Amino acid sequence: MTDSPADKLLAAPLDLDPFARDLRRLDDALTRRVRADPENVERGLAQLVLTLVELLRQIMERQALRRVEAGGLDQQTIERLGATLMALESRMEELKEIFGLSDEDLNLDLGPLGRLL
Amino acid sequence: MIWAYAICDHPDAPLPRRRGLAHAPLEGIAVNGLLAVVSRHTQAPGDPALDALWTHERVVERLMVDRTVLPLRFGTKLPDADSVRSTLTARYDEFMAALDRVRGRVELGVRAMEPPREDGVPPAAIAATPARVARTGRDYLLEKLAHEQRNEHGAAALHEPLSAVAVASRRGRLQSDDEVLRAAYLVERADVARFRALVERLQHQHPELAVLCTGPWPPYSFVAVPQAGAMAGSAAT
Amino acid sequence: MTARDDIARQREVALVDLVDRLLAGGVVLGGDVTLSIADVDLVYVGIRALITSVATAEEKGLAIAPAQGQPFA
Repeated sequence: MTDSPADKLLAAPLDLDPFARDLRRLDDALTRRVRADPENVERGLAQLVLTLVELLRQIMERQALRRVEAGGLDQQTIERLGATLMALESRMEELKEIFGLSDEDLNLDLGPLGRLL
Repeated sequence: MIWAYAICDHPDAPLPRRRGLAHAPLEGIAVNGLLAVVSRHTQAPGDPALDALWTHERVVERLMVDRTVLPLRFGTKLPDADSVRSTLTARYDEFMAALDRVRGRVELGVRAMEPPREDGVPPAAIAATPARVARTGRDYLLEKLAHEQRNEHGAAALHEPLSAVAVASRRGRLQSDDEVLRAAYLVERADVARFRALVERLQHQHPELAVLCTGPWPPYSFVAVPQAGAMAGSAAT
Repeated sequence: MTARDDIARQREVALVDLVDRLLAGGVVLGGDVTLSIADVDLVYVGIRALITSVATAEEKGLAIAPAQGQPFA
């Protein structure tokens, strides 16, 4: 039986920060921080849209990697695939910067439905 | 409304005195060899979110002391006792089979990350390098593949030996660039100490990784109707 | 970090693992699953259903990109 949540750590490194990073987003969800004002609504919308775009980008990138791995693509196609994905990644970085969103911001926690990415 | 915590066996054993949400007493609703453990409420329980989560967890863990338990997803509500009974009846075989799968076993979680090095350079990772660094499209793809392979190599180095100590395992989708492994293991209670020692050994063998093991948990990741290796909290890898 | 910081950090990490399990694991019965604790907007729920089917299709190896050997052309 657990007396304290900390008891649940059976083995852990000295620095737990990387593992606790999820918590900020979780904290928002748990404390019901609803985005009420217009600026936040816009940011919330940007977050949603960019998350979808990022999801699609990741799916496409994964597909491309599987194809390259499987072989049978000519050099020109590989180059074009790679250049497109590279440009997409670069554009995503720019968009994130414009809206002030981090990688964690884009990984929407949907509670019972898990995380989007 | 009926708030449900778990489905377990030993329907005749007395329920624990521990309270559920909103301090409501626990009740059992039985159908043959199955027991749903619930609490009744006239309005939505007003416990603060964090407290509610731990209350749910504590109920499930307390039941696990002397029973085999299928934990329910947090927040499971049903309108009345009849609907509980009909669910137990309709899915009787499924629940009995699930109980058999987890009897005497607990879930352990493992997360491994490869944190950035001291000098701030992300290890073996392609930082989101802006395209102003002149790279060809081909190089970009090949670097990504190499990164994937290195990570998979690291993940396998942990997952394979850990799986060998477990009865079952599930891998989840990685959620950040520096994550290497995210997995759940169903382990015999008697093997928990051995599993933990193995995690510590693997950590020693892989100082470049940060390895975390949590538990024992009720078998949340091993009771849902299987979806091609899905685990709690993430889609299938 | 002080000892108290350590404990706090440990609790946070345990909480992350707990929430993952409670909110996305466990047996799902027919009824309602309350979303109020996680406070998820309905619009996210609808979109998530769409995304899940896309991701599942991808995992099953179904092609998403157009065929004809002209990916992303």
